[in-house]
Amino acid sequence: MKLNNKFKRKLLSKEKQYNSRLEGDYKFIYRKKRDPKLSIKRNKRKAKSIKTRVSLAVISFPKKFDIYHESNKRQTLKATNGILSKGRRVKLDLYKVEVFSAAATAYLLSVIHKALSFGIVVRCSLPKSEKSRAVLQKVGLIDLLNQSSGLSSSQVSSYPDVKRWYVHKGIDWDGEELSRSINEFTNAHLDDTDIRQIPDQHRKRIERNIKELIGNILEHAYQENYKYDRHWILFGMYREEKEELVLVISDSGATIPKTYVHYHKDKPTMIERVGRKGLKTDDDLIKMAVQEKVSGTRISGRGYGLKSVEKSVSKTGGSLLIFSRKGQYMSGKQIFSVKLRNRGESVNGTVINISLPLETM
Amino acid sequence: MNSTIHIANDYTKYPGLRYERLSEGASGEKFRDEFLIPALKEHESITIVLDGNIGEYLPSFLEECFGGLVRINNYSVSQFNKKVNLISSLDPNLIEDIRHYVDKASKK
Repeated sequence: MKLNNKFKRKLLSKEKQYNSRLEGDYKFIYRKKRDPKLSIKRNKRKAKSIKTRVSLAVISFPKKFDIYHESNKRQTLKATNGILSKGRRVKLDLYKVEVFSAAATAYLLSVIHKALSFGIVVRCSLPKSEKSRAVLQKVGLIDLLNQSSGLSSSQVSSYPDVKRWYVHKGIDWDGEELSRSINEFTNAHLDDTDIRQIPDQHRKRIERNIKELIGNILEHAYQENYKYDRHWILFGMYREEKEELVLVISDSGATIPKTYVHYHKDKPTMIERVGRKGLKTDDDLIKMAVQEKVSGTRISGRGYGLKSVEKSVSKTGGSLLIFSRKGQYMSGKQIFSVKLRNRGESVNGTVINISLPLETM
Repeated sequence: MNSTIHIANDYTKYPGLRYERLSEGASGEKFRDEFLIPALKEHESITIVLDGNIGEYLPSFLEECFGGLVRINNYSVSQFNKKVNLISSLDPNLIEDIRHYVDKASKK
């Protein structure tokens, strides 16, 4: 029997309705997927697990996507962390986002990479603002999610600050690729005569710092038995108004406070609060991890990573800012007013922000 | 084995991290075990040329290579200074750094 078009459309729309209800409606799932052989309790549990598996969780992102300022940080982290905790299918509602800060964007990229390696389906609704879409295109997020921003490369380049953003996504160690990327990034401004050029000596120092930090990530953030990709994000941008280079390295592996406690668990005096129960704050743990003369692993000959990077950055008059779990650490001249205290939302990984003023290079 | 080892030509132009499990084929650990130690056993003295690399030498790479000789393979500082000759014409600070790592490793 041939079906006429009107009947076909009715059937398709019913199927669509059925599927969309299946995505969100727990009662609907319960009625339709109920097994008469199981008890009511077990059927309800089954419906809940189906809902989690098939429903699309929509996560709204704030207008200012930023973790430098306390006023924006909580919402930003809540939205980003939701990608890994809301179920198997998530949709990022980026429509309202107008501002993307460097550290928050790098963290978002690392979380999305982790989600994709876990098999979570990630979609997004693009920002209303053209500049925001240009940012996402430039950092590769739109290509990563197999979507289209509708912007050409010339439109993206028409925003001078976005044009000077640079992202390198890495898995494990590839020395040659990394050296090439860093060279490309630090030489990227050679065509731009308005920007002060980076001398060779400083370029080498930048390369050493970045590689040491990535080495730290591969060794401490991802333990030997980690079965997924050991990825990291290197993000660079040139901030024209401050004439400085900003580098952000981000991962979503084990945090610095967690690994520090793990390595010092046999020395409780180092990790526990003085005169009170409980561990030291995450701020203190990160500070100790950076400033300690001996490596966290306590193996002889170690301990050059974070400490040497901090020393090297301070030589050029730059600043170092670290976000990990609920803690923060800052050294050098900071641009943002960041108060040091334990905070509600955590960075489930580590974000290291290095600012290097070009005038002192 | 030759008494002169040119890291960039004989091993890698892109020196990696400390351990082989972190940076396969370019680690300080592998260079020490497969190049340095056999050369030291075979020759009275060796020359290590640090020039010609494209990627930068990391502190962790150098410490594992040379500090590791003292720490793990029980060379003394005087033996190291007598047997190992370092050349780094483009970046003389590297030699100073290596001597510092060796010195520090001997004190542990």
